[in-house]
Amino acid sequence: MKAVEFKDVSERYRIKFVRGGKVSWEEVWVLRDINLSVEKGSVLGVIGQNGAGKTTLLKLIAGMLMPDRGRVDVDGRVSALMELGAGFNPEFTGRENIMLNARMYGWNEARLEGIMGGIAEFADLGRFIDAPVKYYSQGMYMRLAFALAIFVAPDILLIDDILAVGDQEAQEKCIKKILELKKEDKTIILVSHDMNMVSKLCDKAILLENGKIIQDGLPQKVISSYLETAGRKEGIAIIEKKGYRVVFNNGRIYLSCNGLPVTKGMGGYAAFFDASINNWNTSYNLYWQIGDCTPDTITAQGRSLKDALRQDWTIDLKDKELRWRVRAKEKDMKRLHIDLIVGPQYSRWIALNGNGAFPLFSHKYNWQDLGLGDLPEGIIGIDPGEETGDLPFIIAEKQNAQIKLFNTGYEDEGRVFQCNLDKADPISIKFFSDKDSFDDYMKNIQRGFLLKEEKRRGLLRREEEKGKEDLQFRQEAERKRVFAQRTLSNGDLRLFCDLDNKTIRLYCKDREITAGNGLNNSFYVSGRWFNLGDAEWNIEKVSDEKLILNLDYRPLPLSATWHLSCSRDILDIKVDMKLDKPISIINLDTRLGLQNVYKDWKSAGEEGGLSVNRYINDIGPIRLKDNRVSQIILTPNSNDFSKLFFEATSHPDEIIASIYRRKETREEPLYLNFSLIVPKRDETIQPGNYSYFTGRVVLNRDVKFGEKSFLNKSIKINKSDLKFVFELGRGRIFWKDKELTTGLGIYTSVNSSGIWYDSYRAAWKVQKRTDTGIIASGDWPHLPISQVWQMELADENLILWNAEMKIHREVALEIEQVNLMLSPEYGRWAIPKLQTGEFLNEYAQDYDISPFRFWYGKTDQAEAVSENLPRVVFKNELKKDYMRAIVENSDDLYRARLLQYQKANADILLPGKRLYFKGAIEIVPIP
Amino acid sequence: MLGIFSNRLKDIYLHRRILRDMARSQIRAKYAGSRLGIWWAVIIPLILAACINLIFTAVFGIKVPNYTIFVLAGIIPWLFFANALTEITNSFITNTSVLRQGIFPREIVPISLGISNLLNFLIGFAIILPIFIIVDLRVAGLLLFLLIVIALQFIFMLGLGLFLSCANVFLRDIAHFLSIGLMIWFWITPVFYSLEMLSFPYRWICLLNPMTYYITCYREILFGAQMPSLVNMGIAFLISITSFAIGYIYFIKKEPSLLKRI
Repeated sequence: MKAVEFKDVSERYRIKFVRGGKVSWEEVWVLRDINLSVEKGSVLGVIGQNGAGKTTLLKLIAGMLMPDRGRVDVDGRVSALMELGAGFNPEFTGRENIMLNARMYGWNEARLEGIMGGIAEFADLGRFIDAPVKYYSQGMYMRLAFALAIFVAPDILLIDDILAVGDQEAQEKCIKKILELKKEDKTIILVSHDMNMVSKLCDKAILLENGKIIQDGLPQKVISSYLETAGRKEGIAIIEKKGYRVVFNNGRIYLSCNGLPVTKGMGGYAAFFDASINNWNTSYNLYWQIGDCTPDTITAQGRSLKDALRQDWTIDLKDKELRWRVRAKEKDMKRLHIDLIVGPQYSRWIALNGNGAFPLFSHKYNWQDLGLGDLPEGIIGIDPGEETGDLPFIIAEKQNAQIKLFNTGYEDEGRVFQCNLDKADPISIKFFSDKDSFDDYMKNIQRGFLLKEEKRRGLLRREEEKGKEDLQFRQEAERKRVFAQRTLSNGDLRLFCDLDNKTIRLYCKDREITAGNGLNNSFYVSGRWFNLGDAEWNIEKVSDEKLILNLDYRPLPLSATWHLSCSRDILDIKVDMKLDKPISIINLDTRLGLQNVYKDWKSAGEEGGLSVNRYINDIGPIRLKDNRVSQIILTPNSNDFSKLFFEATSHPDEIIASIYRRKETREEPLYLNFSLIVPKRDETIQPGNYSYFTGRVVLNRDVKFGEKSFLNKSIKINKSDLKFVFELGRGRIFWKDKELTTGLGIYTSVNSSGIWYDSYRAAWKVQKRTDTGIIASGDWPHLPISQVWQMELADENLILWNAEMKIHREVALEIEQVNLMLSPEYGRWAIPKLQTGEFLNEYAQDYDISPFRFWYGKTDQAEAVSENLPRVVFKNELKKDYMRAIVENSDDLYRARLLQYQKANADILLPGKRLYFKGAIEIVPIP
Repeated sequence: MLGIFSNRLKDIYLHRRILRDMARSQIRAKYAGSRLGIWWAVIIPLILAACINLIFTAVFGIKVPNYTIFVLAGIIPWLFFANALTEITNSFITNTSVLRQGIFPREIVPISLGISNLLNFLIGFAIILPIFIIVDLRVAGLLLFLLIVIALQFIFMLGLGLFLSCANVFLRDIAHFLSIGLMIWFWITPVFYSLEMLSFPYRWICLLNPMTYYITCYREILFGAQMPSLVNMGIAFLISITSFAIGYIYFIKKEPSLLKRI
């Protein structure tokens, strides 16, 4: 069944031109000989450049225009969503406009009443539905028009690129609704410049150019040929050979094979760091000129506006092989890489040293690195899988370079080859039409590679044998000298700076103990993580015990110096950082990646095993009850390795320790990580010299904790039997030297965008201390807030708690909470005058699984009762209606009782100072 | 051509609800905020008739018995015609947003204006009609003929209106010309005089004026209290059919390019 049919339709406009007072009329054919039929229940996408005739096509279907030649047959009720505001009277309210329009579609009052609610709700205008539409924003207009167009129950819905006006949420809502209509077998015709939307929604697409349909068919095909040809014509060139087609279009490359697009989205392009804008830029932002286009080769030249940047591309297509060379100025080449995006049908990758499947798309827009590390011979192939038999197998090859593979986000769905171009060799992309030839090729290379490896090893052996031979002796000596320049060793410990891979490796009795990135640091600047691998290295061996590593992170205005010194089995690490310009740094981490040879960990207060059962984004954390430690010791699982002690000595009050495993391509190293708390309020760091980290790694020794453990940082106040201890964002209560709290004790936490931020992870300073009181302030990392706590022992059994919050910048805090984490010896709880009950001895496995909650509601007093511990009463004196109390169990890690007060915020909080909590904790001894 | 015609009319019938809604809202809009409302349809012809009566009997001394009734019989249908034609001629210009939607046949817009004016006229006329009957009881027996004449005039007016409204889109001068044109037309239509008062060759001007025949029919019924002459009725019928056909065909021909101009 056809919903729309065009037979030889042409449409012409007579256009009046006024030039110098002289009027002339010109005829312009906006559509020519259009033949088109749209099946009922299908979704057709119409794409093309501006002025191609897309809107005219829709107007003809809507009956807003009539064809000058040919016939347009439309079967069904059409509703059109075109030019914003068409059909709305600006003086009438939204509701009146809906009435007016719906009546035109033949709706009577009674039926209108029925759908009015639906329209108002979908348009989400709130009370603006009763305001004249002239006060509406574009997005509101769009939503109202869309709601109206949908709710008049059309058989055919026409949409003309207006969805782009709405915000993300509104767009998603509209797309959802379009999909619903599609299911109801409605016909939809969509004009859009958003290729993603077309490929997602449409069954079929047509490409219009100068009023003619130049292509129709599957959306992917039509979109790719549109992308190939849209743009300045001076910057487009095409070469085609044996079914393989390469289109160069203004700094982008598109590949297709027998009409089937191989590349997706942006295709292939070069990305580079543009010093003039201090950000990443891409080749398609340059102005391109085709230099030469023979049947084999395209050369093209791209320039930026003031000629500051220049790129020369050479693209050869020879016998199923594409060679792509990008040249730029020497200094620009350093930060230049190319990306080639291909379709999601490619599901597997194959390298000489392994193979695997692409993971599922897990992020929305962000790319996900497959983390393949170094590829022997710089070669990697990808396999399109069996279902899409027509796509070629692809091998990308570049000598002496790193090729990385990425998944794009699920919004774009593509696989990405990324390759650095620090040397001007071309990258070679080979196509194979069948699996056998693909496998053969890979195997051949692999054989060669293995032979070479074999030979290399053989050579090494022979070198040792013929060690006395002069030439080789000198080579060996040179090698050793270089090696020695980069090595420190003392006792069982040896350190080696691996300049080729830009990592620092540690050895114990000549066996490597590091893995993954080894001893490394990482910090987060302008949207990206940086580590040792991103810097320019300069190694300077000062003495047998000392080595200095100078790191230059250009183009960042940042350099770092690592002072590494070795004494018997001890490695001292001191990292200094120098900034030339103010820069915003969010994270400052130092970590040690280790082999899987350890079985237990131990910190000052606790210990545990190193097995992980749960991974989130390839990271398996080992949970510590207390992360505010600066010392961790690991015990090996065999005698071949020794104990390892890792300690941070700088910033002792501002360090968070974590231990985790990370799934990497070939290994799963264990990481010990110290990260410095960077309060959000001062994350922009001024130029100057800073101490980034000092610490040490010690082998073979049982280091005693205690002296430097966190207990030292705590402040105690007491009044007869009651003792209160403040410890960097948490408090502990003791009664007759028996601790009533456990785990985090007294703490606050806020929730922003679904993530909890605890007071105990903030940077705290004690401002004032008296015999019975403490005032301390804490700055939160990641959130622009600070809190000032005032704790006072008002009585021998009463602790007053007053918390104030400072907001430095606008922030959304959905939940504010104060918590009292109590010992599991408390077996019962009570809400005076309301309810009492028992705590169960069951705990949720993990923190994000809903806890065992016993009570939730409005009260200003919650109690925990035990047989042999004093009763604890948690009082809230902040009389606010929206404060709620919660009685629950913590998760399995702490196995504690929780008494909490919380409130929810609907609005964004504005900068300023406000009372966060005012309350008291009363200890009632057993009579 | 006939096929297109009947399809069009069928389409209009299918959308009769919209036609009705539009006509109703136009009447409502016309008297929105006015105290006297529909009574204006009665007051205006009465005042005009009184003025003409005053000028021609008192100043110029015309001696026609029952001159007030004589003028009234012509002025009511003329006002209906003139008002409706003015509104219809502007209809495509003033309703562009409705026309752009293309949900229903576009001629509904001018037709609905014709209908709203017709209703307005009928109501006002129904109020004044007893005057004619009181003067001459026989008028009551001729109401059927009166309805036929009204129908013929309505069709004539629609045809002319479709033509003008369409042409007005391409040449906006038409609306301006119409205001002066209607005034001249009024003078050459025997409203305040009768055809017999004119001698040839001036009478030709009247005889070539289509409105003469409708007004004469009205007068024969209302003033003369007799059946309208078959000749007059016949000519009026032919004029109505021709006008409607020409107007409608012109509109259909011009519709595609019309859409590009509004």
